[in-house]
This record gives sequence, C-alpha cells and structure tokens, in this order.
Amino acid sequence: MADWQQRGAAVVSPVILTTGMRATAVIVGPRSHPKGAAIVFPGSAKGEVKTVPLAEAVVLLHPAHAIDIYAMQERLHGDAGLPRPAAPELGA
Amino acid sequence: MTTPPRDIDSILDDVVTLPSLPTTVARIVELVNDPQCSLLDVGKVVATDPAIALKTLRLANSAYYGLRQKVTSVEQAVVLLGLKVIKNMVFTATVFETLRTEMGAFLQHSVATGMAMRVLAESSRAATLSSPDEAFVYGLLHDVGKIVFEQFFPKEFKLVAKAVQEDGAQWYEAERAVLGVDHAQMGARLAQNWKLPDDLVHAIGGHHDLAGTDARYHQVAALLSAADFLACRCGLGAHLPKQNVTVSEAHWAASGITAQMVPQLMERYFETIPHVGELVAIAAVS
Repeated sequence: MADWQQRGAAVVSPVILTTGMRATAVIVGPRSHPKGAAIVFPGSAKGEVKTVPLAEAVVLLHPAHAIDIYAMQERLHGDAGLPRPAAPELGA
Repeated sequence: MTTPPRDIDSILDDVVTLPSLPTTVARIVELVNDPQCSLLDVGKVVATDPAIALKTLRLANSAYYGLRQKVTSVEQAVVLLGLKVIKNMVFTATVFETLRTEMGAFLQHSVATGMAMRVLAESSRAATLSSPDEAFVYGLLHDVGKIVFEQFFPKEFKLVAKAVQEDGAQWYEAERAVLGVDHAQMGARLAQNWKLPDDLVHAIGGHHDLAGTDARYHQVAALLSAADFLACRCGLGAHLPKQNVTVSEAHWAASGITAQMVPQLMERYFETIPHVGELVAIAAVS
C-alpha cells in the first residue's frame, strides 16, 4: 500500500515500478489536468530525473498502485464526492 | 486473544439463530427459477412484504436504475424491469433492510463495493456473472460474514479491530487468529445455508484467499477482492482509516485486471459514486 505524505503543495508516495525500479508518485492537481499526477524516476544519465504524466506511466505500474494513485488524486482534487484523506492515511 | 481459535462448525453450532434468508427473497428465487412463473406472481410475492416492497419501489425510482417513468407499484416495477433485475433488486432491498441497523460505514462499504464490482465485471466480462445488477449484489454481500461476527461475537469482533489497529494485520487474518475462521468463510457458509447460487458462495468465500475455492470461481472471487480494495482505497472502507487492505498476487492474476485498464475503470467508478450515497439513503429509510 502507498505511503502518502504531504510535501508542500504536492502529495507524494514511493512506488516500485513493474521493472523493479524505485520511483515516486506525485499528485499536484485533478485528473482533468494532464500533469495533475505524475511518476518521477531516475533517467539514464547520472542525476537525471524523468517526470512522466500518470496516464502515460500507468503501464509501468502494478494495478494496485495505479488504483491507489488515481483514488488518492480523486480524493484530493476530484469532484466525485469521495472522502478527503486525513491522518494517518496522509502523513505530514 | 481471549478465545482459542475454533472451527467454523463449532461457531455455527453456537449461532443457533443464524440469520435466515427472508421468506420473500427465498420465494422470489424459487419463482425466477421456475419457467412456469409469471411476472404477476413475482409482483404479488414482493407486495406481501411491506418493508421490502417499499425499498423495491424506492430502488426502482432511483437514478441508479434510471427509469424514465415514475414507478408506483411493485407489479409495474416487475413489468418494466423484468424478472432478473427484480430478483436482484428485491435481494438488494432485503439486504438493505437487514443492514439498516448495522454500522453506517459497513453499509456504505457494502454499497461502494457493489458499485465497484459492477464496474469491474462490466470491463472484464466475467463468464459467471450474468448482469451488472448481479455483480452489484456480489459486492453488497461480500462481507456478510462480518454481520454474524459483529452480532454473535461482539467481544471477539472488538479484539479483531484492536489487532488490526495495533498490529497492522489484515482484517481477515486477525479474525482467523481470534475466532479461528474469517468473515469470508463465514459469509460463504451463510450464503450456502441460504441456498444462494454456487458462484456467489464461492466468490464470497474466496475474496480474501483463493485456496479452497474451485478454480471455476477464481475470476469472480478475484474481481470481488479487487472491488473491495478499490472501495477501500477510495476512502469507502468499512472500518479503520488506514486499514491494511491488500489483494494477493493470485487474485490480481485471476482477475484479469491490468494497469492499462485502471484509468478507464476509475473514471467509470467515480461516475457511480453519487449512486452510493443515494442507495445508502434508500437503505437507511425504514
């Protein structure tokens, strides 16, 4: 299960891609915004960081992680009427 | 842990008044399976139970079913919706009537899981599910074993909640440690006693553990597990805010759900969320 933390305006959680690579899920806005959620992971060059919108990166995720990220994004920024997360679901 | 683990039969022996399937639903199930029965017969049976008839009418008029005309009688509902839909609707109404006095969050979780199961079943085209309405009933009933525990073993039920909160255990694992059986096994036994269809019995029984579940029912049990997870991750769980709800890899594999399917599944699930509140409100009306 994801371990969501508030980081400034973003909500982040570590996530492991299906390739085994460690990455970070970052949520900053609603689903309607293409960059409302993204997966950030190390690029091929040293120190390089790649940021890929969730809709494109979803193929790299386990379905459980994908569900977790979409659900948290909707709870934080959506209008479906889902309960907003609070501690301990969302750490500071 | 004050109670030594026990087997399901000794627990069932203690539960001398195991909830019985209401007569109305038992009769409806019989009628629907009878090729000679008429729509009128079904309407008459539903109308004999005022509480179930009222909830059936409220459901028939809900946005969830989306009928264009106002339904004013059970007979009219039967004609407009057809036998299979009515069977599931009456079943839903009966479960609502049973759960009305139970924990509010439990009812909300049951409805939310029903909605998720409906969405997942539509996308996966599970062979054993004949309609989205039927899928909804699977979700609605998936945790019915918890009602038995909460009703007949309240002390142990609280110990389970404590173990989950303090140790981060999964709910069903804590039940096995405290009671010797989990709610999925108990729910399956209850469904079997109610003579519900085999696929529903096995789906309930296998929604946390596929071991012991016939391979023919693995997909539907796995979809039920994923529906439970989906509802919980959307904040519509039954118990604790950060309950450790997981789906086993065996369940994911059997479900056929892939990450590529998730964006569309979630979009469709979020669209159903207003219906969760609507159905919970219908269930809460006496």
